[in-house]
Amino acid sequence: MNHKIYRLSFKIILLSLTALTALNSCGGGGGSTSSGNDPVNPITPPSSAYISASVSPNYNSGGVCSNVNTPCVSVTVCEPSSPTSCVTINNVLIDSGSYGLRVFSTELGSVGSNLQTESTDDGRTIAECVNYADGSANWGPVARAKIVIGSESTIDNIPMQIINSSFGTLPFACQNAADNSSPDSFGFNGVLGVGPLITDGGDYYGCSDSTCTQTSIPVESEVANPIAFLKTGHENGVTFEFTPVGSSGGSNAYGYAIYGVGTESDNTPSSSVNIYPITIQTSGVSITMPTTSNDSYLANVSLGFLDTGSNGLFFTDATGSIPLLSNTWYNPTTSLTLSVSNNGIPLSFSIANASALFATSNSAFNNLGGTLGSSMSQYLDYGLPFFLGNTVYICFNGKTCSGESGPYWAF
Amino acid sequence: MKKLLILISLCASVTITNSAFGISLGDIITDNTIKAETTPATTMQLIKQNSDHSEYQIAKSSGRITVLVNTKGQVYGFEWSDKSPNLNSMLGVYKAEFDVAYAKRENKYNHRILTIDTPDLLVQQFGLPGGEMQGSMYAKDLQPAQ
Repeated sequence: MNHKIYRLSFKIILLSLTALTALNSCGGGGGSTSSGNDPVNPITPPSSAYISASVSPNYNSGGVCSNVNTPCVSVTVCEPSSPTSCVTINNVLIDSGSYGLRVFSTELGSVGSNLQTESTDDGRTIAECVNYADGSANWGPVARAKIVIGSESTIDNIPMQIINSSFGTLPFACQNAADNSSPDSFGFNGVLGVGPLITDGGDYYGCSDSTCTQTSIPVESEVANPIAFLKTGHENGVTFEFTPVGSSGGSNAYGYAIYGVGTESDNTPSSSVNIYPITIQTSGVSITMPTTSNDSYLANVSLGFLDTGSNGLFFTDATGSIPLLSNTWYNPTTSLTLSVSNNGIPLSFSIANASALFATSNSAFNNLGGTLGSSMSQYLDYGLPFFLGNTVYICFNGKTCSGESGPYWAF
Repeated sequence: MKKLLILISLCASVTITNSAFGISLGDIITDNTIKAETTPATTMQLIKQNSDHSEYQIAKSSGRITVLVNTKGQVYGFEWSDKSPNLNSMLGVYKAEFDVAYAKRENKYNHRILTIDTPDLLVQQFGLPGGEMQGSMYAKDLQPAQ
């Protein structure tokens, strides 16, 4: 094993982060233990490789990566044929709910222009459409690049997406990409997907001249999770470790996405950490674990998932009694402590008054909850609030981590 | 006439070659509509009929969409689990109202969830990239009284 120190510093500046207290089967009750507007609570940097990310403290400033509970990183993209020709992209969302690197062409500059695009067997340029649930979309060609995250680089030719809504002709299914033609409109300079799958299984197109038609491509050509293609022996998963924040949030926070699970002392789950096998589904949310609750608010929940790309704890209030702020955020008069069971293992978390949280102008909150809507009541989305103050291990699909087969979450 | 058309649609799942799904809020569902919106790869059938509304389900390769129809035969809502739902098509005449609210929406850089709630319209969608989107859309002024 290579004992070289690998670090991917993952600084997360979290605006307001209120208390979400996870209780495992060995633990006690829920509730916040922190005070109000706490400064960032330092955590010891890992001794093994990690990437640093940041969440902008400029709550709702309108700039890239400025939303609450949004962790961003810097990545470097290099031309495989000219490894010194690189460009570093800041304000890239690190997302455990998607797969692969996507960067706006405007941020890649000449490096992007020189990347070799991926082609179909009949010579057409491969492009991808990524549709998001909020109605936004990313469109653009797939190209191979050397990607440097933290101190580590992937194999030299990993497929990534160059986001460019002007590429070819937008297919009908990707028309919304026209509304997300810039980092400002999308909210990020790119997305670094490091979820539990190796490739994204997306909707691909073959483009000749300006005409693009949907096509199947070999899995080797799909946009791929860069951590799964590191050269360091830590490509089996990723370990998220974030600073805790107070019950009324923090002006900033940071954390680390440590490469690998069970490959070094600081990415190895302790005996008290529970493993939650991930079910990969073709219908509905693609990665889930069994999640149930006896709590009336969560009476309809049956599936849960972890996602740093979600900036709240999202679920459907089965009672319909929790007040909402802007039809989005839960706004209970007093904080609620909700109890669930993931794969039979109990856990609880808090939901605070969103108005009070936002009034702090903080950016990182561990108790910010929001609604999914009436037709999605079976899901519980453990967004970034869940990660704050917790260590979460993600073992990739097809890999083995600490002797257990992936995919799984562990926390 | 509407009763006849509903009866006809109750009797059979229609599979007819035509263009892609294109029913919008406010549309009147007729037998011809069902035929027009059905392709070899897509089926549309009546799955439920109550005193105050009917439900048709469209099944296609990318997922399924439930079309909610009031007693006047008007589409008042959709509920879906679909990899590539076309919200613009479903919105129909409500598109302009949607667009205004969309531009002002809360939490717009969280790409996982959409909630648009206006006096006439409620649209919600949720999902991860690459998977199916779970969503619903209701024209409040066309919904049956609760």
